[in-house]
Order: sequence, then C-alpha cells, then structure tokens
Amino acid sequence: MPRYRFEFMEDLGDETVEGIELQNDEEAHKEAVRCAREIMADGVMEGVDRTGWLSRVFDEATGRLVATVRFSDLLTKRPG
Amino acid sequence: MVDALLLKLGQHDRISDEERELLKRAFTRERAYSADRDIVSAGARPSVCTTLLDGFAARYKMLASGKRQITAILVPGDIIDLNGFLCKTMDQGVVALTACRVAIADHDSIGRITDTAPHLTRLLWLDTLIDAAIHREWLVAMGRRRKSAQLAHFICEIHMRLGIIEQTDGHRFHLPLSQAELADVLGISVVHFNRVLQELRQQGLITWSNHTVEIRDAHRLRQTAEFDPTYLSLQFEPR
Repeated sequence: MPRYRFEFMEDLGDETVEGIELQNDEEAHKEAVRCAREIMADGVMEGVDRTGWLSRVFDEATGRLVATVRFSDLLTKRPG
Repeated sequence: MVDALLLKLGQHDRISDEERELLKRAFTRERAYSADRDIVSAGARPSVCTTLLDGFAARYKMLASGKRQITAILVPGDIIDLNGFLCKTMDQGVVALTACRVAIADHDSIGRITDTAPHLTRLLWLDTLIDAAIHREWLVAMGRRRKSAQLAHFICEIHMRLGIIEQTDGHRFHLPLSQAELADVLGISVVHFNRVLQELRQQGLITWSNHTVEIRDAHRLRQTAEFDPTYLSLQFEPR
C-alpha cells in the first residue's frame, strides 16, 4: 500500500505525520478530512477554534501533493 | 494449556490444585486463528468458551457506516466468550488481531465447574466483572478524557495486564497492533492517532517503534492518564 505524509499548518507552527499506509489517494483524502473534523471537534471541546488550520497530504514515494484540506471548508452553515 | 489463565486468576486469590485440574480438564482442545479472522462473530450462539493462549484479539462492533469500534483488547489468559455461556447470543464479535491460539472448553464443562466448584466459579465471575470494569474505564476515557490521556490510559492498562501474564520486560512490552487497529481502539482516524502518539512521544512519556512500547516516564504517564488500577482488582485476597 502507498504511504502518505500528512502536514498540518497549525496556529503555532507545523506538524507532520509520516508513514501512513492507505489504499489510494482517495482514501488519503478521506482520511485527511476525517482527521480534520476530529481535530476541530477536540478544539471545540477545549474552547479552541482550529478552523484556520490546513492539512496537506503527500505521496511519500514521489513527493506529489495528493490533497489540500482547509478545515474551514469542512463546515457548512445551515440555510436560514 | 491454560497457564496464562491460571496466572491471571491467581492474581486475585489462591487457586487450589483441584481447581487447577478442573480448569485444565475443561479446556481440552486448541485451535489456531490467523490475523483478521473472527474467533467468534456477533450474533453467534457458541456452545464453547475459549481462552486466549497466544496473540492479541479484540472485541469489536461494526457500525452501519462500515466503521469499526474496538471495545476491548484481549491478551493471553483472557476468556474470550464466557458471556456466551449465559447470554447465549454474542452481542459483539471477537477478532484475532494477530495470529492467535485459543483453548476451548465445552459449555457442559463450564457448567460442571459452576455446579461443583463455587470458589472457582466466583473467580470466573470476578473475571467477567473485571471485563466490565475495563469497559467502564474505556467509556470514561473515550467520553471525558483528552485523546492523549485516553492513549496514555490504554498504555498503562495494557502494560499492567501483560505484566500479570509475565509478558513485559520492565517498562517495555510488545504490542503488535496496526495503526488502524489502534485508531479503532481510540475511535479516531489513523492520522489523528499518530498525532496523539507524537504528543506522548514529544513529552518524553513513551517510545513506540517496531511494535515495541517503552514507558519512559511511568509517573507522568500515569498522571496524564489519571490511571488508577483499582478497577483491575489485583489485590490478592479471599474471594
């Protein structure tokens, strides 16, 4: 399985998680979205707004950028 | 065959020679499972009880979304499905996380123990009570603790449980679970699990490589986890 690197641009610097084996790019993107939602939810419970964060997913073997996830894009406002 | 089970039960109270023989005579057969195979499936009505001899297994629930929640990690000496003896229908599955070997006892043999050996029966009852206590601790950790504290608690607990069956080397132990499985323990994504793991590493509490965990600062790890082993009922006293 391909390995992916997840980079998080956070409020106080960057953090990288390496060597995550996932089936393909689509799964890697889904994983980034899942993780972003969890991090935002943890932030809400701690009273910290992390909607300004961003994560980028790279294919470790080639260095290719697979996905960019802006945390704020994952939240939608209810109409009305 | 049931050495680990005897080690575990023997933590709580003295087990007589007769009781040891009863257990040995009950668990007469062995079976091996490869990793990722169900040892018992949700909805099954087992006619036997099994105890883990080697390997790691997990209780789990599947959600309609296809996500899996691991609700307990089983280590050698744990009885996998004693609840099936009375509940009859399994409400959760148990999967082999690694290659596993189990010992098997017919329900008839377990019935003979409950009919004739009240003290041993109480120890088996205690074992199910401790299973429930572990579930309560996991519930609290999942619902109320930060993820880093939840992982710290899990590490403290597994270290202690493996210590009982003499499968630790001081503060080090082998934990051959995949990142996806560990994420399913915490109920979070694999990447989030890795961030949480990094947090504990960066704080100098643990190292974790090649499936080997080393607790570097047991005092601070326990503080982070708010770990109090009372729920494992490890006192040796009359039961």
